[in-house]
Amino acid sequence: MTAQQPEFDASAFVKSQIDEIAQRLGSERAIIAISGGVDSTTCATLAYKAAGKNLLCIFIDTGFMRLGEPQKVKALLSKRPLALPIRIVRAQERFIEAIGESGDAEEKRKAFRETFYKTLSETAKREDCHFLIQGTIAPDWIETKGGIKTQHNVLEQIGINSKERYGFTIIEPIANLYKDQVRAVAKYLGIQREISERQPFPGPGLLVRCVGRIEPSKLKTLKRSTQIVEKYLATAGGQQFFAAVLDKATEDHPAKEALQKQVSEYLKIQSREVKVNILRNRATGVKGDVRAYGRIASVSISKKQREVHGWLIEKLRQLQSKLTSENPELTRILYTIKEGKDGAPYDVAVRAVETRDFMTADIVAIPWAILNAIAKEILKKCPNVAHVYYDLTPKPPATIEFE
Amino acid sequence: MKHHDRLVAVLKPMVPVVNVKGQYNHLIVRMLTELGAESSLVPLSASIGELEEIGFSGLVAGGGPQSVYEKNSRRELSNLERLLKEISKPLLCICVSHQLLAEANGGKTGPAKEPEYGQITVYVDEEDEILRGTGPSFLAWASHNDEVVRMPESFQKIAHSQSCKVEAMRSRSRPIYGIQFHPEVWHTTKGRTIFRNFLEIVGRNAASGR
Repeated sequence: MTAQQPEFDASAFVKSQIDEIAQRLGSERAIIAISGGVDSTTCATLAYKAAGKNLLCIFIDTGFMRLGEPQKVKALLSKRPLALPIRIVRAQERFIEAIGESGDAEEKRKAFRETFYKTLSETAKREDCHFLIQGTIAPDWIETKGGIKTQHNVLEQIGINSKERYGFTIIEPIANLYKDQVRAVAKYLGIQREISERQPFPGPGLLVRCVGRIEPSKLKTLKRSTQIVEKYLATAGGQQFFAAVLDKATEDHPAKEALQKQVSEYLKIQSREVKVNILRNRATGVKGDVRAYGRIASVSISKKQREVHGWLIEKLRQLQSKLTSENPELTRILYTIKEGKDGAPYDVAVRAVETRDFMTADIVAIPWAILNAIAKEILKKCPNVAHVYYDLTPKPPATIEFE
Repeated sequence: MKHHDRLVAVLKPMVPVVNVKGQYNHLIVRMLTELGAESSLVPLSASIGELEEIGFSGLVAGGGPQSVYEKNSRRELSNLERLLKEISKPLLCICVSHQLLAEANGGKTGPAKEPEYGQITVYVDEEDEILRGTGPSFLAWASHNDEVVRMPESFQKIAHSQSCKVEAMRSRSRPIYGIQFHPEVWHTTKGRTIFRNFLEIVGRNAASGR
């Protein structure tokens, strides 16, 4: 690990965890669901060293994966040096059905979690696996326990008995580590950089970036936008960068006019050249350690002013801080990069943050030219997008993901 | 304390963290461990007796979602409040615990006029022991709806921000400190320095045999 954490010893950690897994399993079989991210892959590698053929690795295709992801992950992990045997379990329809019409972030996450464990449980029973190995890390259980958001892989910490409910006992080898420590373990284990340095992809996948109700065309727009954002930001996007899709619908909120005035005064731009909207969708945030399922405001300044002022990133950063401080309901501020067709049903938000451990995050000052290019390509390839925004909000008061 | 025990406490002090149920409490444990101390989370119900049993030589109390002027929150924190009053070893109180520390010593906490979320600039008023090497100002990360509106008379203000008068305070007579922002998160630029300073205070205190 880097000079910053001289105390964390990856080699001692690996040795003790392999011993512990082997001891707990004895001659029993175990199952693990792999996403191809660094957490689950690191856990699978540890468990494979401890259990060998007694470990069953599956990849659950939830339908909320990025384009081509299941195949890509399988190919990558089956390769040496990992050589993990992986089975893909298709469950797209099940997940779509379970989430249904719900537009509420927590309901969606809970439906996802339930379907995820049911699917796992069925496979485990069929294959006679009495243990589940899981890549839960510290922020997962901290956020779930603290009521900030339901992570898909947290059960026992909140009092759900997995043995009774799903028939397996859970082993969580890396539950006390943070992301940067997991990466150190992955590196030590010889896991490819492609995985060890891969940006995290949330358990529920694109579900938490498809804000509000799930619709097939909305999800398709998200998948396309995700591909575009990842292409442009691979080298300039901080530790995590992605796209989220929102409904274009706005609310006639009583605070709108006051907000518009605040923005115009702060940016010193005439009121008629400033537009503030409150979106109908809500997003998850955290204010003073309390979950805040708050309002999203979008700020636009006229095209002419955008050209005159250029990318006011520092000014906008402070504006964001002022707006979320003075308006208790607001947890997210989006800034318009480019407009598409007015009648289009969706908006896309681009988000890029830098973080060490995903507990706090700051936004990245992506150059305006790159944001412009991203927005242009999204609008071209997704004609049902009305606005492309850049998310100005750090964590706190927002969380990294939208839901 | 015997000479040998004292030496151990100086070299690798045991500094537990009271889990006040905030998101960053576990990060405090990580920070202390990385700086060479022994640490673990202890529950809100922890008593001085229990802390002495594990051989603690200093204590950190973390942040949480509570509002200390609300009845239910105050009841939830009543044991911690007692602990803050009884303790004679070095103590560092963060966020909600900082607000509780103020109340416990006759100060007052209320809703912040301008709550702070994310990045703030902390202006150091006094580079005493705990803030040594952090002045004149540094970037920190905060997340609070409430703040100390009146500081206890037995305390000295040592840092402020643009919208929050008491970002940090210290007792005038004992090694007890309150900090409103979060020195334990990665984005706080001088956070590690603050914890290092605290561990030095803990080490000195243990060496003096108190």
